[in-house]
Amino acid sequence: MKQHRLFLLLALVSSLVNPAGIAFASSSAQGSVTASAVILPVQVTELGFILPALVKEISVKAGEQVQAGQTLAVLDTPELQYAVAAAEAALRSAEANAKVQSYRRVKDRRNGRVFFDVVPPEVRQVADAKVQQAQAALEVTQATLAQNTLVAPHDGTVASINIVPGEFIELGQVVLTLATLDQFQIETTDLSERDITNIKLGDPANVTVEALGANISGTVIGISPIADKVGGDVVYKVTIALNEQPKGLRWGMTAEVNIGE
Amino acid sequence: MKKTYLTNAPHKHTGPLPLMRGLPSSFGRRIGDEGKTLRKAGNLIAMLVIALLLTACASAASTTPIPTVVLGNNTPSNNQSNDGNSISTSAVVVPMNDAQLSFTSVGKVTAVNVKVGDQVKAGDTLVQLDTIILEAKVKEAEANVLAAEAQINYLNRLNTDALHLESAQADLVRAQALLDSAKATLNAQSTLTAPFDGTIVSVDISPAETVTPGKAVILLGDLTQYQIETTDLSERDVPGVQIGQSVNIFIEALNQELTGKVVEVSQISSTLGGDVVYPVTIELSEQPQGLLWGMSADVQIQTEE
Repeated sequence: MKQHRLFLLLALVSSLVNPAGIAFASSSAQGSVTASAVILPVQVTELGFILPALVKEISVKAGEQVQAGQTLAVLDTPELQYAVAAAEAALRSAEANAKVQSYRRVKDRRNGRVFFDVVPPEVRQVADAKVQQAQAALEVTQATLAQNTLVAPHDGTVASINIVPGEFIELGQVVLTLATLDQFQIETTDLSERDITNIKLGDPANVTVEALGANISGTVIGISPIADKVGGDVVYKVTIALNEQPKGLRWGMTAEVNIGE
Repeated sequence: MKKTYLTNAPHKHTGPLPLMRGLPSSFGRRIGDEGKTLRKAGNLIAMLVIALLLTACASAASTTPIPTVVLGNNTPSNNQSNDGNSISTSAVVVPMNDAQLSFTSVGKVTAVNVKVGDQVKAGDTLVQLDTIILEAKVKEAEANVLAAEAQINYLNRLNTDALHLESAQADLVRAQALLDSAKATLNAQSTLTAPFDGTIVSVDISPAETVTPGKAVILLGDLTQYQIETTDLSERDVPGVQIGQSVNIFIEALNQELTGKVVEVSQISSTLGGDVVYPVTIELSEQPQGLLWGMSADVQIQTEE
C-alpha cells in the first residue's frame, strides 16, 4: 500500500510540474539552443492523377520498396484507349489520302520530269498538313492515355496508399505517398522566436534520438523564413541534415536537438 | 474583497473537474485487480488523491502564471493599457508584399526550380508542369493553319469567286486563333513564374506531384521590407487610431525598440477568440537586421501627441 501511495504521489507531482516545463525550447547558458524535433524523410512525394477516373489496379503494397519508373497504380480509362485507336485510324486515313495525291502526281511524270499536274500542289500541301494534324492529334490522345498510369518518380518506399481498386479518384487527390525511408533529416517543432536569431545556416547540431538512445551530429541546412504558431508560441522550423543515418530510425520519432557550439 | 473571492471560486474548481473524474476510476480498477479487500483502502486513497489534486491544482493555478503568455498574441484586449494617450496592443511582423502562388490548371509537376530561402527575380520560372499534351495540341493547331493557308493559295491561284475565298479566309482566321489560344495555354498554364522579386518562403510541391487550380504551391515574400500588423486591437480602441499617428514598437525576439507610424486601419474587423479586432498596419521607420516574418511585437500607438 505504501508503495502505491508513493507511486501515485510521484505521478501526481510530476504530472503537475511537467505541463509548465515541456512547452518551450530552452536556450542554455552557452548560447547554444535546445529544441524538440521530429524525424522526417528527406524526400516525400504525394502522388496523384490528373484524370478523374476509377482505379483499376494497384500494383504495390504499403511498405514496399520501389524503383524509379516502376508502375504503382493504373486507372480504368477505356474511353481513352478508344480515343487512341480512333486517332490512329484517322492518321492512317490521312496518310493514305496524302499518298494517293502523290501517286497521282508520279503517274503524270514523263521522262523523269513532271509533265502535267493532275492534282494541284496546294491539294497535296493540304493533304500533308492533314497528316501532320492527325499525327499531333494522336500524340494528344496517347499523352492523355499515359496519364492513367502512375509510375514511381524516384526510388523509395511506399509510405501509404489511400485508395483501393474500384474507387473513384478526383483530380489531384493524393492516392499514394512515396518516401525515402533510408534518408532522414530532422525538423524542429518548438524553436522559439527568441532563439531563432542565434541560429544560422551551417551551424553544427547535436541530435539525440530518445527511442534509439543515439547521439548523432548534424548541420543546419534550412531555417524557415516564416513562423508557425504552436499553442500561443511563435516558433520557426529549422531543418538539420544528419551526418549519419543510424539503424532503426523511423519517420515521426522525436528527437532533442542542440544547435550551436 | 470577499465578494471577488466568491466570484472567482467557481472558476478555480471547474478546471480540475474532468481530471477528478478520470483519475479515481482508473485508480479503483488498479486496486480491483489485486483483490477486493483492497478496494476500501483504495477508495480512501482515491479520496486523498482528490483532495491532493484539488489543493495542488488550486495552488498551481494561483501561484504559477501561465508561462507561455509572455509573447502571446492572444492576450485579451482588457489587458491592454489604454490610458487615453496611447493604445498598447500585440502585433506581428509581416512583409509588405507577399503572394500565395498557384496554377490555373490541373497538371503534373516535372520540375521545382526553387527551394525555401532562394532569392528570385520577377519572371523567374519557379515550377514547371508536364507540357506533353499542351505541346501536341499546339502542333495540331499549327498543322490546321498550314492546311488553311494552302487552301487559300489554291483558291487565289484559281481565281475563284469571292464567296469561296472569303469562306477559306475565315477558316484560316479561325485556325490561327485556335493556334494562338493553344500557345497561350501552353505558356500560361505550364509554368509558375515569380510575380515580383522576393524570397521563397515555403514550397508545398515536389516533382511528379499533381497540382489543381488554386492550390497554393509556393509562398513568395519580399523579405527586404517588413511592416507590423496588430493582432488584437479591439473595436473599443480603434476609433482612437488615425493614419499617421506615431508608434513605438518593441520586437521581443531582437530585444529592440523601433519607431513607426500608422499607415492603414482595416475597414473590416476580424475576430480573435470572442473579440472583435481591427488589424492596423504600421510602417517601420527602419528595417532592423534579423527581423523575420511572424515575429511578435508589442506596439504602443500614440493617440495624443
